[in-house]
Amino acid sequence: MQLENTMKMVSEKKNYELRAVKTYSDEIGSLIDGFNAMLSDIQQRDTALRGANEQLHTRTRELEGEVSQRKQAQEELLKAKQVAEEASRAKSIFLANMSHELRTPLNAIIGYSEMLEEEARDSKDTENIQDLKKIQFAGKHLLALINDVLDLSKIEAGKMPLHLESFDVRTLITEMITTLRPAVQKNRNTLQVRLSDDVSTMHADVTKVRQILFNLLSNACKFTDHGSILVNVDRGSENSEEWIRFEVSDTGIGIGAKQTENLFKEFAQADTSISRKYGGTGLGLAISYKFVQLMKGRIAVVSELGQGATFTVELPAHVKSEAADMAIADAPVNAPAPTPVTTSDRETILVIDDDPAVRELMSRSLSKLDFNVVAVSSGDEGLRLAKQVRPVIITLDVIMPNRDGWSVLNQLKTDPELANIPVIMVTIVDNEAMGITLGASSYLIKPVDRERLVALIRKHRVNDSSAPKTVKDTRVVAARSQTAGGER
Amino acid sequence: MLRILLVEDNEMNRDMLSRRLQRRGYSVAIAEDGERGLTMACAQMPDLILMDISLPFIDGCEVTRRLKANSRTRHIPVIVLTAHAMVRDRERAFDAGCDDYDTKPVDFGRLMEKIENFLPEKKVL
Repeated sequence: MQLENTMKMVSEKKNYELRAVKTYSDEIGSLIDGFNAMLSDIQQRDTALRGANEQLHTRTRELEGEVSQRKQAQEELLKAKQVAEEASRAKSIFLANMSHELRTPLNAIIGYSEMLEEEARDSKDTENIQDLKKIQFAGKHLLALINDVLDLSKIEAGKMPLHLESFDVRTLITEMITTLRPAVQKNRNTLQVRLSDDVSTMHADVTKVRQILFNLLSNACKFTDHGSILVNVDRGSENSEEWIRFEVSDTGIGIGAKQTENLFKEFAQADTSISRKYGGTGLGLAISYKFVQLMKGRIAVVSELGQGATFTVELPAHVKSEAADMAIADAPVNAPAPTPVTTSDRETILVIDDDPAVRELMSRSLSKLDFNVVAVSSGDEGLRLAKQVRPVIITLDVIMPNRDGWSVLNQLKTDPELANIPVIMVTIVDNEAMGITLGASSYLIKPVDRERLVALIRKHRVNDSSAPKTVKDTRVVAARSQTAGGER
Repeated sequence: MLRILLVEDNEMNRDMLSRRLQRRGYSVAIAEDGERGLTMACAQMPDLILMDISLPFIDGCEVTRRLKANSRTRHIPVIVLTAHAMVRDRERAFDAGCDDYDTKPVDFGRLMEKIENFLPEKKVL
C-alpha cells in the first residue's frame, strides 16, 4: 500500500518532506490527512530544530570568544591593579622617607642654634645672639613649609588617614589658648573664648581639628593689630545629625572679595606676597580646607577689606570613618557577567503557562516549598520578567498562543543574562530530546506529577552547574534524539 | 648630681640633648641602642631615663616594658620621645609603662618642664 511505503521511506530516510498521496476520502483518507499534517509538523519542527542548532553553534562560538576576551581583560586589569598598588606603596615609602630626611637636618639646624644661643646668653655674648636667632627663625619657617608641603602631598596621594577618637572640646580649646598666648600678645590683641555648655565631647581626628583651629587662630593673630579676636564654639543639629561649630572672628585687616575666591586654594596668587609680609607658609588654609573636607565638614569665610574676618568651621560631632566610604568605592569594577540575584530571602521560580489553572497549582505547590512564585501567561511576559526577577528556575509550557515554548526556550538560552537559569519544560507535547537539545534542563509531561516536579526543582536548585550546554554535549544529545525519533 | 640616661640613636639629637642637659647641671650617660640602654639602666640606675621610641635592636617601648617589669629598675621615671604625634603611638608608649612622653622635634623648654616634674630635687645651676 502506498501509505505503508511512504511511511517506510519517512522512517528509513528521515525525509519529512514526503507526503502521502490521498486517494480516498474515507477513514484511511482522514488518516492520510492526519499523517501528512504530522509530517508537516515534524518538518517544521525539524527546520526549527536545525535553525536553533545553528544558532546554538554560532552563539557558543560567540560566547567562547567573549569568554576569552573577558579573561584577557581580567588579566590586564589584574596587572594594572598590581602596578597601581606598587606605585602606591612606593609613594607611601617616599613620603615617609622624605618626611624623615627633610626634618632631621632641619631639627639639627634649629637645635644647635638654640643651644648656641643659650651658651651665648650665658657668656653674655650678645652680638651673636641676634644672628643665631635669625638662623632659628629661618629654620623654623622652613620646617613649617616642609610640614605643610608634606601634608598637602599626603592628602593628594590619599595617604592622609583619619585617626578618630573621642575627646573633650573644652580641653582642646584651653590647650590651644595657652599655646597661642604669645602670638595673641605679639600684636597687642585680646582673645575672648565663648564655649556653649552643650559642647562637651566630639568624635573626630583631634590632631587635624587642632591644626585647623591653630591655623585660623594664628591667622587671626597675624592679621589683627591692637584688635580683638573672638572664638565661639557651639553645638547644633541638622537633619537629625549633630554638628560642632567653631567660629573665629577678628577685627583685623580683612580679606578682599577677589582674595576670598582663592582663599582655600593652594598656591593662590596673593599668597606669596602675604606670606612674605606677614609670615606663614600661605598653605595653612588650603590644608585646613582639605582636612575639613576629609571629615565631611564645612568651612566658610565672611570678610570685607578693612572689616575683619569671620571663619566658620562646622564638623560632624561624630565623624564617620573612611571605611564606610571605602566600601562603596571598592565595589567590584571588573566583576564577571552579573549572576542572578539570590537573596537570603526566598528564591524565585518563574512559571510560564497560559493555563490559569496550571499557574494557580504551580504557585501553591511551589510556594509551599518556600519559593517565591511569579506566574505569567505568555512567553513574552515571561522573558521580560525573567530579566527583572532573575528566578533560580523557570518552568515553561510549550503550547502557548503567540509565542510557543520552544521559541521562548531558545530565547532564554541565547540570552547571556538568562542562559544560566535552569528551565523545566512542562508540557503535553512529548519531545524531550528536542527540549534538551535546545537547552532545557528537564522535561516534564503533563499532567505533572507534583512529586517529580518538586524533586526536579530541588535537583536543579542544588546543582548550580547548569551552565549552557557545551557544543560537545549538544552533539551527544542530538545523536540520542535521532535514534529516539526513529523508533517512533 | 642627678643622672639622666639618654637612649637615642641619632647622633645629632644625642649631641644636642646631652650637651644642653649637661649645661642645666645634669650628668648624662648615653646609650646608642635599645640593648645598650637596657644594660646601662640596670648597671647605672640613673635618676631618669630619656628614651627615643625608634631604636635599633629593641625599640623604646620594649625597653620600657622590660625596665618596668624588673623590680630593680621599675621606679626609674621613663620619658619616651617620639617623632609621631599620633594618638596610637602615645597609647603604645603608655601601655608599655612610660611615665611621660614628648614629641620630636624636641622643644627643650617643654622637655625640661617634664623632667623637672619627676626630679623635684633642685638641679645645680
